[in-house]
Amino acid sequence: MLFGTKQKTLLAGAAAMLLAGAVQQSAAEEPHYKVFLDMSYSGNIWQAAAANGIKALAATPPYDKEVEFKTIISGTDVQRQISDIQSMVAAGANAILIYPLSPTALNRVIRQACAQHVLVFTYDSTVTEPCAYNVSNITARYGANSAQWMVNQLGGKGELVINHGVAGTAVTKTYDAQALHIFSRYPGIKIVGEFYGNWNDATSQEGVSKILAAHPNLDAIWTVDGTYGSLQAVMKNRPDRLVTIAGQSNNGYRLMIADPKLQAKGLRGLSSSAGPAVGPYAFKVMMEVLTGQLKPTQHNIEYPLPWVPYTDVKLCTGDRFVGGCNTFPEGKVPPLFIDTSLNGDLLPELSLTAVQEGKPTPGARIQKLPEIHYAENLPGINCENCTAPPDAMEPNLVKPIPVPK
Amino acid sequence: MKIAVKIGRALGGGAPFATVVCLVMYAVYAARAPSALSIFGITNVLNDAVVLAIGSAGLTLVILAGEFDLSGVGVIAIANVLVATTSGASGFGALGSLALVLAIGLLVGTVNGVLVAFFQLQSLAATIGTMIACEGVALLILPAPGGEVSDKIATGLTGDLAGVIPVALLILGGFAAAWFVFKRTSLGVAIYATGADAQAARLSGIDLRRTRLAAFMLAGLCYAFAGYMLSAETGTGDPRVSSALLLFMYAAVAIGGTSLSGGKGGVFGSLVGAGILTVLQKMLFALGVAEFYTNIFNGIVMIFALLFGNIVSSLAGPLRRQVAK
Repeated sequence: MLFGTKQKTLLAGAAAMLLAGAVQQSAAEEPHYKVFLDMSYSGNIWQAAAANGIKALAATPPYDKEVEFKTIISGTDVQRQISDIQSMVAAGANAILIYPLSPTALNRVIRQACAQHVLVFTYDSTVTEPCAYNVSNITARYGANSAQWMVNQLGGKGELVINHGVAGTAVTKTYDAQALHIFSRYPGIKIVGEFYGNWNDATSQEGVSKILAAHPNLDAIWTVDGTYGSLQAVMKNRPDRLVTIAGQSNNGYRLMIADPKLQAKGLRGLSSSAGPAVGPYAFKVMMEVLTGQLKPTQHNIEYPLPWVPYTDVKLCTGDRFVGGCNTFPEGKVPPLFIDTSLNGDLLPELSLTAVQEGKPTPGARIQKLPEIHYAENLPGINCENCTAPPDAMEPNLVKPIPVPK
Repeated sequence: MKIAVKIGRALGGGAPFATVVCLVMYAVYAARAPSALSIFGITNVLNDAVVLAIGSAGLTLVILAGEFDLSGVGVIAIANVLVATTSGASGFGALGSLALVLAIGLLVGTVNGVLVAFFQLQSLAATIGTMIACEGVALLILPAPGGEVSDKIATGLTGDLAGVIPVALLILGGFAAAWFVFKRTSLGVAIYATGADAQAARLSGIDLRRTRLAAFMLAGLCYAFAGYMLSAETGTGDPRVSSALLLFMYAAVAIGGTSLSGGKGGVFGSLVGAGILTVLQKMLFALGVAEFYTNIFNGIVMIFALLFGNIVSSLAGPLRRQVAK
């Protein structure tokens, strides 16, 4: 009896497998791609917004039918990410989109993947392995541009705090070097304090509060992220005299820098830095390459640097960035929502719910990308044994003011 | 029965159970992903596991002696950036950089040991200090990811001998063999005795300070070698790449059946524990478990491994006493 049941199960299993095979064969007539997203960690607004945007695009026609899409979270352990990439290759991936945990440590496994003809893309963070495609704005000189913007706002003099970000990362090293290069050109700019805010609002708020206690005449704060927290520290401790500040693109921060009442107290803000929309943008580029619509001649592709000074903040009425608007009214999204999760020009398929829930926008269809822009070489960031352009440390979005006498 | 217990003892505590779990998980993985049985697939898994395995092996020695050690990730970070900056053509070469990182590992282990054994500092607190200091030193040596690991290390230690035997297997086998010899030496016995009951060990003539110092020094050597292997696997240096390993090292030790209160368990179990954590990731992928569920399953499997390990050893306990009679 027992044997009988077992045999029946086996038979049923075999039949099911045959059936599955038949179904797979009929599905194979349409183009069909196996695509993986390997993200680092979740539970962080930036990472979640980027992953949601990618998921929403993967479920937007025609990719909803053509792409078998799967997300893997590798956490913060690079060994785990190596292991997951190996598994994706073994599972027959056609393309892998990675948030790389290290610019160099994945190179070997990425080479293995390329050797198996798997298309490898990274978003936001980059790798130096030449067979991978990097899509990022790390080459867009945020450090130089934001520092120069602040110097111009300050008239070339003032007391400044540097909120470094995360130690030991390529982003921190690159942006810090650019910003310090610009600040050091103006003798009137005095750096009175610096700390590692870890791109975190709570850590940044604490760090700025401490420095503010020792330097009550602080004029400016330069950040890469943790901007909202940095500004909160000034609002709490010195509400009548605010600062010039550059950094991220949280909705609450954009609303604050656009507020005339706060501007009257001296707030001059720039909203820029890396936006989560680079993730979905990288996905679109990768899919165009995978489907043969796009044949890039270089592997480093630049995502345009978000750039919204306080004078350019424009409120949206709906839940998409259309007509040049770039900020949601208060109450529509949480203050820490990152406005650069969306991009009206490059990613018209995405709406607010898409990046908040990872669901496709109803009625949307994937649009063809405008022309892509190649990135500059940055040794140790997106290439090895290469040279950066001679003006790599100089601003290219802002015109420098002369050094005050 | 007698033989089974003997084998169980030889493998050390909860290790036999962990070994079975590891093999079963590998079988599940292989059933879904046939490439798991190719030499390439096996080598990949062993390479993924070897850094965690050797790091946890070092940690086990300290834990067996009844202490904690958090400095491992710091030593691994220093070793990694040193290999990436010194193993190239202009540096000391593959063997020179190995000697250098082992010396650093020994030095950090000695500092830990002296602080804990001679200055009576709490090991958890003292090794937090050395960990932070080491991570700082790693950032000084290499402020951002980069450097280059000599090809001799990168391809030599991650490939297969004659296309059949993974080098990582030889290294792990070597560690296991060394452990079975070491645990019978007087130092090995002293480490167990110190961790199980320090007062009794002292009364029976064991030098507690020397034993603890030796455990930390050997651990330092293991961490340094783990860092060397990490460099081989990644081919470059990254000062931050090891920081996520810390919790996994403790998890590997615990899953391998070593009691975190000391005196019970062994290095072999930790090697297998590292294997379980590595194969688990592969198995969950092969089963199609995606996203957050991977973490949930990771946690659940770890808790089950601990629970069953406990049950197995509590069942084996009375049996062992019977045999001893």
